[in-house]
Amino acid sequence: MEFREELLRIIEKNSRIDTKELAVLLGVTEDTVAAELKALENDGTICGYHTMVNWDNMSTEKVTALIEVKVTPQRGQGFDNIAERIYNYPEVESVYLMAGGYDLMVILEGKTIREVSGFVSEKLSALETVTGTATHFILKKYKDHGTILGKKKEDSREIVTP
Amino acid sequence: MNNFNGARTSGASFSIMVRGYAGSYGAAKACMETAGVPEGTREHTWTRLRKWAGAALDKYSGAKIQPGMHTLLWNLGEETGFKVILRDIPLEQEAVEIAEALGLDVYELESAETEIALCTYPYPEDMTLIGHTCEGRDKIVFNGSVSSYLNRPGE
Repeated sequence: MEFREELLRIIEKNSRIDTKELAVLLGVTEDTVAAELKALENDGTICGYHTMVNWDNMSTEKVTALIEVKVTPQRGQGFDNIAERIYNYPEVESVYLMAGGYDLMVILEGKTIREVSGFVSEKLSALETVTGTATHFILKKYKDHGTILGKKKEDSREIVTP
Repeated sequence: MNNFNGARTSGASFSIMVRGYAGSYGAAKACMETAGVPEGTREHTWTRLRKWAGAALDKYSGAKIQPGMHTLLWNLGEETGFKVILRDIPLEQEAVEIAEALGLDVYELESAETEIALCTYPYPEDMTLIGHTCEGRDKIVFNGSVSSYLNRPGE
């Protein structure tokens, strides 16, 4: 179990690391690493290998919103049914069940604020069990998934005196 | 942390971890001791590196100076066999640039406040995993797709 955790900690930070390097770091053979990765993929512990993108560096229009959602839980199903209806929308990035002042946190990505607003008013609020929403737009990401984004570049130019 | 006595005889397997940057102190010292601009280096680049070197020497003033990473690994190899990934050893960009400009091996340069330690999981938060101990006395270093035996420091 400890070996699995150690392996997961490493690939969580660098999913592009190859099995040869993993074998050296973990003190096992490449075959052991490959078999463990396969097992972790098969049992759903490893759900995918993603690339972190700083979209601020691109001209692509992209808006991320955090939406607090209050819902009425359904008898026998709690929040699972409504969560499933929400996460099945392709524009929804993440859905979390929360403790506190609201029930679900929905993270949404859209091209424009209007697109996100349209999703909230036409799709999310229209669900019967949703009793209220509060939408927060992300203005800038400083750190995401443990990675600092858009680190300030130092000006290395020499000072020139005329 | 740098005491590896018993690692060979215990038969246990350890992760090899590093704290701090390898070769920064030695690179800073070499930079400040160099008169003029090394051949093939632009003047404004060297000015920037000297500025970094001055600040680094101030920062490491009074710090415990350690030998180069090669020596630290060699000492570890006296007690146990190991496999390490060279590129996972933390380096500062400026130290690499100075070593290149002066034709030095950054892994041979002295370090300050750098430690190499044998750990078990969970790892210390402030250390970087660079490899693992293994049975026998082989000291194997991986550099990209190339693996080689660690040479005695200075060779």
